Amino acid sequence: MTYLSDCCEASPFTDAINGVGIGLRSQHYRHILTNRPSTPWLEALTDNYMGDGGQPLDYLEQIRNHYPITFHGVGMSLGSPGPMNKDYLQRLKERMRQFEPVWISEHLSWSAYHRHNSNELLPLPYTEEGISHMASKIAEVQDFLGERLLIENVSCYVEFKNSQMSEWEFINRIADEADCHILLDINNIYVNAFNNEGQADDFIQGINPERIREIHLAGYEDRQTHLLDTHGQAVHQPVWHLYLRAIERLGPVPTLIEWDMDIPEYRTLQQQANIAEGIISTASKAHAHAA
Amino acid sequence: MPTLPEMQKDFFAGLFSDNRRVVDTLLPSKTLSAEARFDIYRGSVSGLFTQVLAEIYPVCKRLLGNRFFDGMVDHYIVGYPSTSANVIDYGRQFPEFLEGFEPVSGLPYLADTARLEWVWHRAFNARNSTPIDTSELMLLNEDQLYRTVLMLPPGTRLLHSIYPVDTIWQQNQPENKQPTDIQLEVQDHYLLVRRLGYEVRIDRFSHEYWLLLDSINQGLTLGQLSEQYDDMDLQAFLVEAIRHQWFNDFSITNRSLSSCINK
Repeated sequence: MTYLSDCCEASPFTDAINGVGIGLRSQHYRHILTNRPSTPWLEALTDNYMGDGGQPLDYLEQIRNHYPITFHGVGMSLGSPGPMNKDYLQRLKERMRQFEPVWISEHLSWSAYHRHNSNELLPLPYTEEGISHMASKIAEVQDFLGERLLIENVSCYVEFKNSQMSEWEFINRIADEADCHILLDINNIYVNAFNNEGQADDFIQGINPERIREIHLAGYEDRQTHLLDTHGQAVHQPVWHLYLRAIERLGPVPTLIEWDMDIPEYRTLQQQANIAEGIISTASKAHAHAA
Repeated sequence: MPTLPEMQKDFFAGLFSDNRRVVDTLLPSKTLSAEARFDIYRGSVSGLFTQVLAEIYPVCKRLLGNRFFDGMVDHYIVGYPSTSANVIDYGRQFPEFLEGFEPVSGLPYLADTARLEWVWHRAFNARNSTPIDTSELMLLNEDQLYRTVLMLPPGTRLLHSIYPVDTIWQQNQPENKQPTDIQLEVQDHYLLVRRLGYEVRIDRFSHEYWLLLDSINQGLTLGQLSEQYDDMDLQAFLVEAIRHQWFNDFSITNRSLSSCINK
């Protein structure tokens, strides 16, 4: 299978995703268009632009004339039983033609059960059955869209008794079988390690670096008994440390700051991005020194 | 152990009912039982839909108060699960739910207020459209005018309520810190909700103009309108309609008087 992204330019900004981008939120549309901050790229939440028209689509049209954009979705429900939602995929394909994102990503999870939808990112047990199920769904979507997907590790609050392998092995196997890329969410790795009493560094060491195209960073909420992935705070200190170790191993992977609850001024997001830029720079100096 | 689809069936059922079969397939952590861990998902789903409904129905929320609204929404979530991958489609049946929800039966205007909020939400997200060049309409001959269908902007909806829901809506916008008393005498209110540019407008109409707009929305030609409403000054209506941009496009159908006779 040859994907569009392998053979032709999908956007004027192809290959322009470098450094630390920021998740595009409606609160910042005007600020971005008026002040044109020096953010290298922006990530749009695909599902916010699936309406028929109106302000969100017009703003995205203006913004993508000035910034490379990527698409990040929550509504595909890759892991659901039954056939894929063709209406959703068709609409996504239209939006891809319209806005030409450099790439599109989705979550390694499921949301819908037949007609009904939880609109939540639900977990899967790490089993052989899960691998073949997910891989065939991802391959189907990639064939339909003509693009390779990035799949993201999700925050997970339960552990299934029948899981047969680690989360990173599950993801590596799916990515190999579906021939897709990986979006590594460092906050989710930390949250899952904390909640499931695992070692976050094992994940960083175990994940296949060849397939990683993007990293996500966000803040969790400490609920005492567990950590909740709310995207409502600054990135926490242990997540920054884990990010440094990830960058040391993986190199300067394009990174995104996400913030979805109690969204602050754009400046605060830029400060978070600056910290990430600093970490990338520190890690590459260490690399150069070691070499 | 259940297969993946069996586990998913149980997991999904557990989110929206008291069915806890899925818990048997889960492990506890040091701090939480398997059931408490599963309940994190129940809380998250409930939180998401509560937030979605609060964004679509802010006036209802303000009328009822945050705690009451959030508690009531839990009943809606269980009774009316989402059927769309996109949460902007969720909440369409909320007005019907309110009509049957006994604790709010003392607020008879609430369901119609919710109807207004839903059509506002749909108009906000409707397809963009370019306003009509009215000069083109002026160039049509009589036969063409007879066969012309006027089109309201995408997402436009006509609403009728016996309560002043437009006033209730205006008085309960966030910038209005101290709503004044609203007289609730039962009386017909005819409304048109449409988007002009980015602005969603709610306009009140006379019964006869509202009926005309409703007929236009149903696809009647100007010829059919002139026959159906022969006691009305259609010319005056059209002048007003163009001035206020009640419609934004037109098309000429093949439904001519002569072709009807020939058949």
